Amino acid sequence: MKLQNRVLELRRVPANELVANPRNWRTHPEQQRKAVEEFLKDVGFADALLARKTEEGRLELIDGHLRADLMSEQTVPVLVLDVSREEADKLLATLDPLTQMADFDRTKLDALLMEDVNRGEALEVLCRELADKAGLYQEHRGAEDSKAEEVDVDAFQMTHRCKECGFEFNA
Amino acid sequence: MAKSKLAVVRDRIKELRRVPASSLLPNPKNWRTHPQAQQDALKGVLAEVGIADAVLARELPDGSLMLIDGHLRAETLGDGDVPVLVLDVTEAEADKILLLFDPLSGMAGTEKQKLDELLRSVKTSSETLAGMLEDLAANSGLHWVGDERNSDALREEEKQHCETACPRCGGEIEATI
Repeated sequence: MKLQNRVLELRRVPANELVANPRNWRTHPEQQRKAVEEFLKDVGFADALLARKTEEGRLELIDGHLRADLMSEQTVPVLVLDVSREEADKLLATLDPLTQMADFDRTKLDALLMEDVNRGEALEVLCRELADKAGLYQEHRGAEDSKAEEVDVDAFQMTHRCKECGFEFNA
Repeated sequence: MAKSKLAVVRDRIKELRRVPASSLLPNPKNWRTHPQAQQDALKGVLAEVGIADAVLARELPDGSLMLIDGHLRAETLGDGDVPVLVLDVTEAEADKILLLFDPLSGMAGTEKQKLDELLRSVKTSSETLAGMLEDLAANSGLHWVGDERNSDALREEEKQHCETACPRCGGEIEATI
């Protein structure tokens, strides 16, 4: 698949020079701020923010508002995109929802969760929620967490199954 | 509430490179899987906007690049070029990124009024992308009206589709009870 490349360049700019997008619809609860802070302290900047050049030559954020806010006194890596305002709106609306459409491989998730046991408090909470959602128990964390209850599988019998992907659902 | 500011944070991005997507090695520890609906929605955005973000990779000792984030984009683009941010991270750090990036972004909340305003300006002719935006609106108690196709035909199509196809991948279904 050959497509138009809209990424102009990688630039380092002071975070406080970036213009917040007035149409940004994401909000950042305190728990997320803490978790992102812990991640940045531990690993550092591992991804660039996304911004578009406005008609006045300023950089308007599309993705990365929380990081720009946390790092306002610093220089941050930004991918400058050559997109119109309408296209930026489409990205703003679709970036996070697209990511959240992914499913997970339980075994691989379990392996990654078990790998690092010295996380910060907020990241630990996030990982526990992740494990819970996936029906995993992080047994190395102590007896109180490892009491996996017996689940009556028949109670969750669905009425239909897809022959191709195996997805089961009630119709 | 006082907002905390961070002191110096390390910048782990070495460079921006463009490489054929098919030359990137998939990460064997990647735990995300990509349902058909997500694949189609991504194709919709790629067709309508183009490549507007870089994938993340780390360089292995032999010089090859192993993906950390962007497996679906790399797979979709195949032989086409993809922008890659090459990170200077260890395998253990790459694993942390792999595990935490998506869940961290999933912690964000929604400001309903702004989402409503934004959705009013977004149009698409991709069926799957339209479905995704409808779900996004519905989850916040909103209604999205940007589908450029005829809405009656769409409703009929959707009704028929639900009765005969898998809601996740569109495949054939069978009754289990």
